[in-house]
Amino acid sequence: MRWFKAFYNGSLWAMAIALTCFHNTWIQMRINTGYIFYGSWLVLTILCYIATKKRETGILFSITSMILCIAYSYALYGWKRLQIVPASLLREGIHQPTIKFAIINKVIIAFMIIGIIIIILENIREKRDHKGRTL
Amino acid sequence: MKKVVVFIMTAVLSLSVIACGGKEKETKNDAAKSGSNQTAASADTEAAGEQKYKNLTVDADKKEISFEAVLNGTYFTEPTRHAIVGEDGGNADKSMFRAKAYNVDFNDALEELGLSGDSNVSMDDMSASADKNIVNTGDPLEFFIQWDGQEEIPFKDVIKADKDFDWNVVFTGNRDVAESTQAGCFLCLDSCAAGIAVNTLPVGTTAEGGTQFFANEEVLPDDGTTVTITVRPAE
Repeated sequence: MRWFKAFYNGSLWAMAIALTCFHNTWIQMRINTGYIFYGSWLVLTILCYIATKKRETGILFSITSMILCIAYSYALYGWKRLQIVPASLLREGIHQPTIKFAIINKVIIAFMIIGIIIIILENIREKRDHKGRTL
Repeated sequence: MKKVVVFIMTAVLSLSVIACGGKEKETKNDAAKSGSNQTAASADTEAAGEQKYKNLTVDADKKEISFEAVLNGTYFTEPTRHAIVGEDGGNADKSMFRAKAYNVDFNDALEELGLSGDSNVSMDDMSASADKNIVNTGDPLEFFIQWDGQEEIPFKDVIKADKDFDWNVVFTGNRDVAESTQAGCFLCLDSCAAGIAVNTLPVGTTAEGGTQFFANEEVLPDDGTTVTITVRPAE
């Protein structure tokens, strides 16, 4: 489960980094910001996994991470641009410019919701197992 | 459960990395192939009675060139200085429209119609600010656009900016730079060393703090729509 938490939180932070880069027109015009997202995602997943080796993070960490990343992205772009920019950089990174924004947005939302549900359910299961062992 | 999660994560990350690397090579190879084989291919296809340029139609009688392009909705809300770029070009993802044709062919087709550009802006000029007033000169052009359910309208109507702007498009004749950089630019919104056609605002107009151009969402169809762009010499 530690891998999944690292994978999930890494994706949120990587998106925040990519959106920050995309917000700078100079960078946006010269660099494929999709590469920044996918590259950061890979690096942050590994770093987060290593960093939580000794002490695993709880549900609160992932929920806070999600809320902060959404709030930051909203502050940076506003609602209308948020419906376009994350989807745009995701498809740019995989060189699939014909995928519709609406489809990518649905995948992003599904990933965020299902991801956090998996983390919450897994956490509840772990707590139950822990209780069972201590009784 | 853990094994499944690790498998999914590994698969997704692997796919991401593969996707990042693959297309770059393909694009460069295609561009290089397209460039080096251009002359021979054109001669062969012409002899065979086929279309001379890939995805680019030249009507000498009507004095017009037309090609298809795909609208990129990213630039409904984000600024860019690239109006039309060929899909194999380095700036393809940074433009409002991805042309399905090759920009060097577009240059050759314009020359075939008897038009010329002065190629008077160099790559060194590209860092100049707008007050230096470096502009391309050449024969004037008119761009038009149409799509399903929309008759032909002037291309200027699908562009909007945060400031008032002049719209005078010229043929630059930047064939050599276009071929060497493989940027793919068909139409730039300010003067440029690599674009085949440009709006004659000075180099640097679209730099930080300058004019910001967007695709006009109120006029244009949805992201991903294929449009037809027609270019004629200005009267």
